[in-house]
Amino acid sequence: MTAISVRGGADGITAHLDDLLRVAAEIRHASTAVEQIRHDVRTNTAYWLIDDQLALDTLPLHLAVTALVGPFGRLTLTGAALEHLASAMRAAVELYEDADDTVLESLAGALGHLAAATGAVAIGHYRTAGHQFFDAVPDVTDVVTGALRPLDHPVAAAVTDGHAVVTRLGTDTSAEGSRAPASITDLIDELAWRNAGKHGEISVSILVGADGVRRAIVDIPGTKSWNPLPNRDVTSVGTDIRALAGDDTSYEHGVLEALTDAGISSHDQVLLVGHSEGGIVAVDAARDAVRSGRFNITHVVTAGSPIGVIARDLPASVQVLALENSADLVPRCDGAANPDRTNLTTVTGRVQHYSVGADHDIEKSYEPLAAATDRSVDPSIEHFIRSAHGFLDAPAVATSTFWIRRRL
Amino acid sequence: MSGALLQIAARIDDAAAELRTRAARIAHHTADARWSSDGARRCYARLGAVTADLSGCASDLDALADQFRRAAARQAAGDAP
Repeated sequence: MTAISVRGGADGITAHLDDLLRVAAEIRHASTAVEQIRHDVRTNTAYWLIDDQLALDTLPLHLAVTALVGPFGRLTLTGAALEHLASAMRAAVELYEDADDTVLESLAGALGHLAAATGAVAIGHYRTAGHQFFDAVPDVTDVVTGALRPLDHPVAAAVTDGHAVVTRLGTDTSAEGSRAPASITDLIDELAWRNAGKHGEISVSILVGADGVRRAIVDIPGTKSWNPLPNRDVTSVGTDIRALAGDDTSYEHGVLEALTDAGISSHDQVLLVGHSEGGIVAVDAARDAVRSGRFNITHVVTAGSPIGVIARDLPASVQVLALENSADLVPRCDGAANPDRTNLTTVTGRVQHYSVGADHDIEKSYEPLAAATDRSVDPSIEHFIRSAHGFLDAPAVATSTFWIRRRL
Repeated sequence: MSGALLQIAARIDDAAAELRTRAARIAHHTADARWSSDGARRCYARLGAVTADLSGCASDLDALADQFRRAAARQAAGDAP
């Protein structure tokens, strides 16, 4: 059974910080109200005190007023304490947000693993050293690729991407294409099925949930061609380079065009599911389609996709579940851990095959991770699954397949 | 004169009600908040004390309003303050 850890989402640190800010705002309002009340009581009783001219038998009243609203009265002190607490809470949140502890953790982890590996070699424990070095590699990848990140945009701009040409292939009547998903595992299974198709093949599955609302699920496979030269295959590495920098791509335009071709409107809810490069394209597409209002992309599920940088620009209305195998180098190749956001839940587990390909493989690595995610009772995961229930409780789906190519 | 005292008592009643509303809102937001770290739990405990402070102030205002009402009653009965 794969053990997982969860970062971000509805139970992540950012969600907690948001809560703290809400409470701090409420306390500040209370502080203002207390000060106003203190002022009112002082003003009202002052008129009476002048009229009264300190008659002896009303002395208890004078004392009670002073005990409440005088310089050291209870209301005075409570108002000051509230103001102080609200300021302290806001300062704590700002301090936390300013501290980029993710980078520090990553660097510390890399240095710790490498030191342990070196020590193991010195005493002849080569297999142990191999494991420890392998553990360290993803962290080192983060540091190195992070340093290269400023080059992303100039390099991406130099990549020739052309225009998308979308061809409808037909209806997928296979058992896999007709099966309505009921879990994260099912979503990843169906993505694996689509991944077995031709280069540039994606699918749009239309379903009607138990609530009667029409929705669409789009499966977007990852890189299939390692040809770095300009070519007609949208799944080649040129798309990776542009999409990682957050630039739009022919692959992304093809996905959105396929949604239009499938009859999806801006009123239908859409879930994008992507593996590797497909996940990067899914996040970029969600960002662009939601900002323009072209489609209502509410959910994204990624498997083995480096989205740490591009996810920062995602609108808050898009809920993302990111599955990452910690033995897989690919999710780390943007040099950034996924940010802790209320709408981004990152599930990390270790499924190790000691093979770069297998560690990144949908069926070998990401299906076990998806199964572990379905079994989890983590609050962020449960929140994501609850929010996506309309995509997971339909009795049937109708799946159309499309072929996206690049015209240069 | 007793009418003025009753007006003051009524204003103080309003102030007490306002404080109780504020205390309830803080308690509501606190209960809704997602707390998992030790630091957040300590913060929660502090907020509980703040809510209790506000409720205590409201009770003090109640008592003060009562004193003003009693003074007004004495005055109305010719038992001058």
